[in-house]
Amino acid sequence: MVLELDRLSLIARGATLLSDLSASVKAGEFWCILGRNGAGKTTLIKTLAGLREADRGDIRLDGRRLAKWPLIALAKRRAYLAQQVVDHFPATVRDTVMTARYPYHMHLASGFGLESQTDRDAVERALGQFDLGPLAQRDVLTLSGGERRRVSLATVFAQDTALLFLDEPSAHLDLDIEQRVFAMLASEVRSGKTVVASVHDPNLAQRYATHAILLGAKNVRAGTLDEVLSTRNLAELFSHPVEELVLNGRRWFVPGPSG
Amino acid sequence: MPRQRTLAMLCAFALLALICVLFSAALGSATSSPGDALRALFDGDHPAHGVVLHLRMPRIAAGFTVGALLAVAGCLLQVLLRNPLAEPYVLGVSGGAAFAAMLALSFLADALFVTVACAMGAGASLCLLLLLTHREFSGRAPQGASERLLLAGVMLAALWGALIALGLSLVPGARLQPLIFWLMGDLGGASNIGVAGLILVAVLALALRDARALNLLARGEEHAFALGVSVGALKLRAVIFAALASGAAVSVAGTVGFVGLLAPHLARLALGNDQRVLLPASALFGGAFVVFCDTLARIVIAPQQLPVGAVTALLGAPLFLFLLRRVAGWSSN
Repeated sequence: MVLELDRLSLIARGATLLSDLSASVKAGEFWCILGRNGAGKTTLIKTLAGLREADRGDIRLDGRRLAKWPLIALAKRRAYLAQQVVDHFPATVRDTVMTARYPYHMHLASGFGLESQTDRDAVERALGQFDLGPLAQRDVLTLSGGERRRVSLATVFAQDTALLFLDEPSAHLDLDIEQRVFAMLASEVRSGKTVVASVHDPNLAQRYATHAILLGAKNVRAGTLDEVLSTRNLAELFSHPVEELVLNGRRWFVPGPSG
Repeated sequence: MPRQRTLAMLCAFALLALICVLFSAALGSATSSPGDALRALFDGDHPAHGVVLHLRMPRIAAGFTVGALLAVAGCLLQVLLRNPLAEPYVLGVSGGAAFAAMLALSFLADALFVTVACAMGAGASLCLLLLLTHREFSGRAPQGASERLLLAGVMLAALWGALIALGLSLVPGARLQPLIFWLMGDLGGASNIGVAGLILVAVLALALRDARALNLLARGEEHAFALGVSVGALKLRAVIFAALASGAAVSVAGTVGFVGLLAPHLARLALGNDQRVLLPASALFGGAFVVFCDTLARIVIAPQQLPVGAVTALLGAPLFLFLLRRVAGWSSN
């Protein structure tokens, strides 16, 4: 058991987004969160990652309440990808990815903890995974949206944690990179990591995830893909008919004719 | 940035500061060259010994301290508010100090009294600011809205500015000129440099301890928090350090403008945005710049002296615009 949600409720601006959700997220599971705009995907991911407190109920990570975790220990255990990042100051891509190594050189009391070889290796590996080698010296302020997204993903990977909380990891990405990122996430999950990611495309969940949470306005469904991801549930979630295609033995969800 | 280049740039900033100090010590009617000034400083029989030791050196020390304090405050506030326009006076703390000092100056011109009034004004203004924005600093998770802090600070600064304008219009004419010099920033009557120097060393050392966490804060509160930084506590420390630094600077020389905005930007253009080097480099440049400007203020139309604050903006604004054009866009590469 890695992450345990115990009757979790989320309330934002007076509206209840989620009430009494209980679920267990284990190592080697890939959870996708689906829901309409404003359904609370971001709020849920932030809460699970410990960036905001649960409004009711409990979240336990490794058996310990999330709010009780020391921040540095937490930063070595889970990484968080924000839906969007705004850069305020110039910085190179490499230095930006290096920020992810902060929790690992806190043993020095001073602010001068210098990067170790392990840190540099982790950064170079992450840069390579997202084809950022040629951009390593570029200023982040000059990058395109998709390039900046890859830098954020590389930063999350360089943090080298067993749990990844990703808010729309596929946003801004080209088709090939999107597929590669999800294939990479799936392979990380097979090697024992845990991923919780929000997505817009049910086909990404269908192809790569093991579990899904459907954040509907009336009810919330959480469980394995087989239990949760069906044309009926998706149609209810998006208030639009959804049909199923089978192509080369793989299921695809497509929007049906409306009305 | 490669480590060797960073070190070389830091050394260049230190060298620049040293050159400014030497020339400021040398320039004036009593000595002819930096060498002559050095001899005058250490040789008790030199005719200019008293001038260099008791007039120029304290003024140089005051100028350097004030510049460095303002630069460090500017650095911290630009990171804290993630706003390149932030400068030491933006949170209104120095406005509070200036208002208190103005009251003190218009009733009693004693230097110690003015300094104490400054400290009290700065402290009161900081307390007011924290009272208005305490939610920004509380709780474990990031609150995410530095705009509220910035706006509260700007409003406080505007309020102090209005009170100062009101005060100026009521002060009798004879007392007006020293007041105006003080409000523009003037090193002519600088005093209590020792305390300001101690505050500079303390603030710089404490801020450097937080330098890596500040680097993360510059990229956003959520990012910093997710990487293990206790964001609320860090922001509170940064506000207090910046308030201490700008309050100390104002108590020595009044409100010297522009240094706190220029020095961090210039250092950032040369060195990038790593606070571990940016904080000391800004301090060195800010100090050197104020010493240089004050030397000009002393000698340009000697024996008449100008307030240093008039020179800092007059020189600083064109210098900054020139550099902004030279360095493509914002980028440091």
